[in-house]
Amino acid sequence: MKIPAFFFIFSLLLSELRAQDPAMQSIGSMSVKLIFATNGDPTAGGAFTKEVSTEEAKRLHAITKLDFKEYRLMGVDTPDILKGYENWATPLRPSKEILISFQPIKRSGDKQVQMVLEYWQSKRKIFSVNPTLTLGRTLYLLGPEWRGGRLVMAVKIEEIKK
Amino acid sequence: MKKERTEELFVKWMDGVLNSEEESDLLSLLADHPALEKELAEMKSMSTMISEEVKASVEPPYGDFFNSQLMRKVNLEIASKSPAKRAERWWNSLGWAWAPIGAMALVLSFFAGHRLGHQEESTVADTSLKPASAKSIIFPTVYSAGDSLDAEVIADTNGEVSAIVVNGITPIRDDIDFGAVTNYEGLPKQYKSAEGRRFD
Repeated sequence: MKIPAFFFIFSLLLSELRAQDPAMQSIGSMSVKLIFATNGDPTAGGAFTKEVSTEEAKRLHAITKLDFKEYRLMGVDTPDILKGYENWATPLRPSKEILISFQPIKRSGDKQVQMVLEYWQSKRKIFSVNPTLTLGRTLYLLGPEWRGGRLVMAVKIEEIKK
Repeated sequence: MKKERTEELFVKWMDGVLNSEEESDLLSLLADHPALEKELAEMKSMSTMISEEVKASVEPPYGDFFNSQLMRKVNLEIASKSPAKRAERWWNSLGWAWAPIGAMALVLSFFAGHRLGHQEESTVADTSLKPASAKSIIFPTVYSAGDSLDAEVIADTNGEVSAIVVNGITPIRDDIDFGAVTNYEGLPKQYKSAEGRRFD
C-alpha cells in the first residue's frame, strides 16, 4: 500500500517539476506539410490523392525550381514549438518514414524565429538547415525524388505567443 | 687459457705483431684446440676482405672547397662566441618578454577570429542564387549529414527566403509506401525522447 502511494506522490512531483521547466513552455505552433510534386502521373503517389489548395499551388508554381504540373498533399502536422527542446513533426503519421525536427534558436520580435530544421528519412538525418521563419510565411524545401516526382516540405509558423 | 688472452693473441696475429713468446702460446693453443685454427682462418679472411673493400684513407672530393667551408664554419663559431657578437643578439636579453607578447597575440587572434566568424554567418553556403536586393538578409546554411548535397536558397522579390532546393539526396525507393505504419523500433533516439516528454 505504501509503494503505490509513493509512486503517486512521485509522479505528482515529477509533473510539477515538468510544468515548471521553462524549456517546456510552448512559444507557438508550426505547420509542416509534405507534398508530392510531379510532372508525371500524380496517381504514382498511391493513396495520396488530395490536391493542395489553389493558393498553395499558386505559390509553388511561382517558384521556378518548384514549378511542377501536379501537387498532392501527403500529410500535415501542426506541433507546438517548445521553447528549449527539439520538436518533431510527423506529417505522414502514422508512418514515421519521414520526420522533421525543429528547435528554436533565436527569436526576433513578435514575428520571426530562427530555427534549426532537420529532415529525417528512414531513421537517418539527411540534412539540417537554420532558416529564419516569419509568422504566416511558408518556407518550401525541395527534397528527394520519389516515384518520378519530388517531395516538398512546406514549413510555416502558424502562431507565436507573446 | 683465458678467453681474453686468446682474443688478444688472435688480434695480434692478424695485425702481424706477435712476439716469439706470444707466437709459441698461440701455437700451443691451436694444438690443444684444433677448431680454433679454422676460426682464426675465417677471421683472417674476413679482415682481408674488409681491408680490400674499404680503403684506409680517401681523398675528399673537391678538397679545397671542403676545407674552405670547414674554415668558414669554424670562424663563424668563434665569432659567435666573441663578446661583440653576443651583444648584437639583443633579442636574447628579452627572453622574459616572449610570454606576454604571445598572450597578447593569442587575444588579438581570438578577436580577429570572432569578427571573421560573424561575417561568415551572413554568407550563404552551398547556394548559387543570391538576390541583389537581399544583402541584409541572413541566408540559411544547409548542412548535410551524409550525402554530398548541393543546396540553393531562393528568395522572393522582398528578399525573404521562400524556398531551399536540396539536390543530391539519394532518391527514395519507389516501393516504399508512406501509407504503411513504420515500426517504432529503430526510430531516432531524440524522437523517442521527445515523444516521452510529450506524454509525461
